[in-house]
Amino acid sequence: MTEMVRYAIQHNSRYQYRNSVARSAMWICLEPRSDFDQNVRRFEAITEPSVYLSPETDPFGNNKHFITVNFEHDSLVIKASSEVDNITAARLPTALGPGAWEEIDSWTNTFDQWHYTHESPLTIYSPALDDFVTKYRIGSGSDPVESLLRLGDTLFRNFEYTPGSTNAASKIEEILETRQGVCQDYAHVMIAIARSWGIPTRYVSGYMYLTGMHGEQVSESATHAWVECLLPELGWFGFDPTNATIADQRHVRIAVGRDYLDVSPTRGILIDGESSTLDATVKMEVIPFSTV
Amino acid sequence: MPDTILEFQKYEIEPSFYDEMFHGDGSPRQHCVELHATLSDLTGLELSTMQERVTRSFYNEGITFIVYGNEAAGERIIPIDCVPRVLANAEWRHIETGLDQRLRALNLFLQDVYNEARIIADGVIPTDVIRDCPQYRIEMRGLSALHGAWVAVCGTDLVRTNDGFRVLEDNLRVPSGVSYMIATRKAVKANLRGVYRRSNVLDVEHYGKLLLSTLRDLAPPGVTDPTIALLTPGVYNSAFYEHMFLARELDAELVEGRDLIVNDGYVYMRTTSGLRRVDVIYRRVDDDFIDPLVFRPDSYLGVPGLLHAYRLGNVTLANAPGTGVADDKSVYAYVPDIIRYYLSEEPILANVDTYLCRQPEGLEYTLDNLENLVVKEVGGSGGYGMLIGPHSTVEERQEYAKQIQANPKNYISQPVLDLSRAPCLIDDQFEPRHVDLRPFVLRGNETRIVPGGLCRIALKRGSLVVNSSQGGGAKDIWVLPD
Amino acid sequence: MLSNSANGIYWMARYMERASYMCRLLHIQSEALVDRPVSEIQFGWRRIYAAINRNPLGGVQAVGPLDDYNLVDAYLLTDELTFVRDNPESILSCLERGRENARQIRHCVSDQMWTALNTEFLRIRDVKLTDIWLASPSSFYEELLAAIDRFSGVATATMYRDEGWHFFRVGQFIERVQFGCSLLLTQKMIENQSGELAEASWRSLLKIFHASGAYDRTYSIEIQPDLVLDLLVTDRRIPESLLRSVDRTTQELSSLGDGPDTATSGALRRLAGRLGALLRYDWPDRDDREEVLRQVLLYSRQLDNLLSQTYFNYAFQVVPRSDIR
Repeated sequence: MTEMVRYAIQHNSRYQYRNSVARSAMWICLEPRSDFDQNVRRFEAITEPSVYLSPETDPFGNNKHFITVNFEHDSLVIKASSEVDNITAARLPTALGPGAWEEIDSWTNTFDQWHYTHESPLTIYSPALDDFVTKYRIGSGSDPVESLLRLGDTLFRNFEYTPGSTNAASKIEEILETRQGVCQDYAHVMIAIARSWGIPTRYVSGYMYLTGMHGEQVSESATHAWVECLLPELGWFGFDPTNATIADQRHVRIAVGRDYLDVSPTRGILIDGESSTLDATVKMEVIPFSTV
Repeated sequence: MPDTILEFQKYEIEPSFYDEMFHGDGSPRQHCVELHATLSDLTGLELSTMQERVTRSFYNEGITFIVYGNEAAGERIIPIDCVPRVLANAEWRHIETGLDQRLRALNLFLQDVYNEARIIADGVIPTDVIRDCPQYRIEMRGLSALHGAWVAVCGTDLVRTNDGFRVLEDNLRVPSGVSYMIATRKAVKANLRGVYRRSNVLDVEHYGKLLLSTLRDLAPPGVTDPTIALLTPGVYNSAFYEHMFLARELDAELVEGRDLIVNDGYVYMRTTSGLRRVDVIYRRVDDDFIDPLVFRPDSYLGVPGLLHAYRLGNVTLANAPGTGVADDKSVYAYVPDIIRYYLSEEPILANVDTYLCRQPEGLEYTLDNLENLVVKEVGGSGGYGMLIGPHSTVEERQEYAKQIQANPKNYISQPVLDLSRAPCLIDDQFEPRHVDLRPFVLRGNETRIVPGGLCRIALKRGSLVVNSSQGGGAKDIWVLPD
Repeated sequence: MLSNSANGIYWMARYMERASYMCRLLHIQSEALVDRPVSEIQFGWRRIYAAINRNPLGGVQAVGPLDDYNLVDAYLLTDELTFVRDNPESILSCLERGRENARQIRHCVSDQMWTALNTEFLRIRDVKLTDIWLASPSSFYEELLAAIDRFSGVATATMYRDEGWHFFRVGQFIERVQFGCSLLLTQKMIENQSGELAEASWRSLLKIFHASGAYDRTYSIEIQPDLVLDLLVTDRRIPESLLRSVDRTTQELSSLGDGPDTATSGALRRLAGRLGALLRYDWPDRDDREEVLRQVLLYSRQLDNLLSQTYFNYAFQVVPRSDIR
């Protein structure tokens, strides 16, 4: 039986511009996906100043919104709230059936999986990464699931999770060099290696519900990133190398893509404006619901 | 300068090259008799005066361009040769049906590779040829173009050898040159009035009307009287004259990125009476620069959100983004198969034999035969980055071979073509020069073509490079009636 | 019409008009160099530089106190004001900027206008001062002036009377108000100067405004500065008098639509009206004339500013709805 968790998520972002900006345009990628293991019951987003959020489904199936603020403004606030049912079942077998690698190989260079099995700007398989792989004897073993779990575990043990150590668009060279990074970096490294094995792998941006001893939310900033791999029998399956776990009921998926650049929560451009500072807060709560 | 009749006595005809005016025995081809007779009656002085008038008219009109990397040289005109190249009606019919067939097939191909990709599934084209192509825009997945017209404006380069016409290149992104075709026609017919009238040359100057009809065909559904704008990178672009010229022909506003804004998913332009919605954009800005929030972020030429409005179907972009995948030089090799696959027809216009270095046998053949081949970069254009085997030194070939081996996917090779030659007025003499032919094909809910095109000339004696950026010239093409 | 196109037409007109004034000034100067006293020549240079609000080559001292003046500089100064591209107000720069604007909007104006402008630009682009200095600089300026006048005439004869035309005219008239007003203000420099120099400067001023004949006919052969000023400021029969230019500006503005924001376009029209009233009713008999001229100059600059805010560069305060067509 599948156990279900319902979350209420409030994600607020505030851009404060150094000087006022004549116009701005922005992609917003904050609406969680409704697909195989989660169901979005409600999503609302508003902005201050108030403008129309124009919806679009991107080539990866994500629900994005495009906004333009075509008048002078000195800050922009985006308030997104959603209610999501997470119906992820813990269902990872210890190993896949025989012939799993062969099946994966048959996907590797297919038209539809091409972009999930080849390099993207932030997941380049560089010489530094090759050295890293050699040094820690990371390799694909006899079973894909086991190999991926071991890969995630290796990253977890050898990188130090250090907020602020890298920025959103950091290349994986930085985390390889300093061994410090954030979830995006863990995900990018894992993607680059898994793709080198031929496994279709994608970047997931989302939220993670972190609890303390008594089940209370412990982190104010719950945005998170992990990866999904396409596997025989399982379909797209989530691995979270930052926490050395598989994606489970704590994970809420917003969007998937080749890497961070496809799914960054906001991506904008200022016209006649300089830099800005971003201040984001996420509140994530489990809400009770009556079982059907 | 001798004020005597300039005859064709010294004009050299070589059997290995098809001559556009003469048979092998030196007699003019039937469709050239009239022009030949007229030219034979003109004196050297008359001809060179004519040439000078044509050149001056281009300067005064401001039909100039700036060579990239050589801005200091200032504005230049493309050298125009006043001797037209004549095509018999039957020759043109053949070209016209061939181009129509090719463009229909390429549009079906684009619709397919951005949707079901049946042609891949059916094994006609290898996946990597498409997905490795930088011009394949994943942002276009799942979209359809109105009337299937991904490519609304195409400028196909054709060459003629002793075996007939062949397609050298399909230009499906932002092909240019059509204003030169019209300006050349205006200048040349003013100078060769008698023979032009007697020959009943078919008109090309209504191109603008056909382009307008084509763009109107492509208006978003429900828009009956579309507002059309031509998007230019600006006055410093080498084709700016053409953008201005076409905007006037279309009676459309000539806009730059800064003139447009996206709001509520629609595109507007800033006019003196306020914002006005734009329905169809004939864009002459490359994919990379149309929307900094989707393609190159450092681009100031584009409009943030333009792709969004396009994806919502609220504005038409002609040509659609992503069409470059169909004129990639690796994909080019498959166009005959593409035609057979989608149309179940045999190609009317032949391709040039092409060896793909991405394939081991193609790579081997290319490296073994460098001195006899033309090698090109798959994404290259404008005649840049080519190796012309027979005109290269051993060192150049060795250097180029290294480049190929380092990145074979990036190269294709083709045999050196015996491009046809046409008489040109060079230093007050008629001399043969190699030429090609770029007709302009339009596709809305039907194919529209003006009979003719731009004839490009390799002005250097013996040269095969016709690109204007590489010192090529141009001449008028006269298509005769039946 | 596209805002940027209207802006391009407006500036094309302004630069061509400015080129015309520069050409007239240099024509007078080139003739003065032949036989006029040094003081008059020097005043001529100072007037030109003051009108374009720029320091001459080598700083003010080049045309500084009378006795410092050195005839050798005439060549350099002429060059700087005619051909030097680094000087944005040189005739060549004005033509070049006019042509650059024209190039961007030539689909909005007549072919004949473009050809007239382009041909003349190409003709003088490669001319060097050495080519004309020894022969006849003044006939060079005469020819150039004729070509610039031809451009203006061709525009009147061929341009489609749409919005573009009105922006073209507004550009011409606003430039006339600004440049004309700056020139009138430079007359202050000859206060306390000898009668001969003053007389010559007022005479040449009349010439620049195409008003010599009109003055002689209306008043007398004798120059009376106040009468000259009256004529050039308020006589609407003088083609480039300030009042006439202001009235024509107002007229052209009334032919233009309101623009997206009626508040700014209202302010624009009110300002034009105020400028007309200032010249028509508040032109003082004697004193405070300089003060009024300064006010006119200030208003005319604000006019330019408001024009831009109304039509070219307005803010999108009103969020458009998708049903705007």
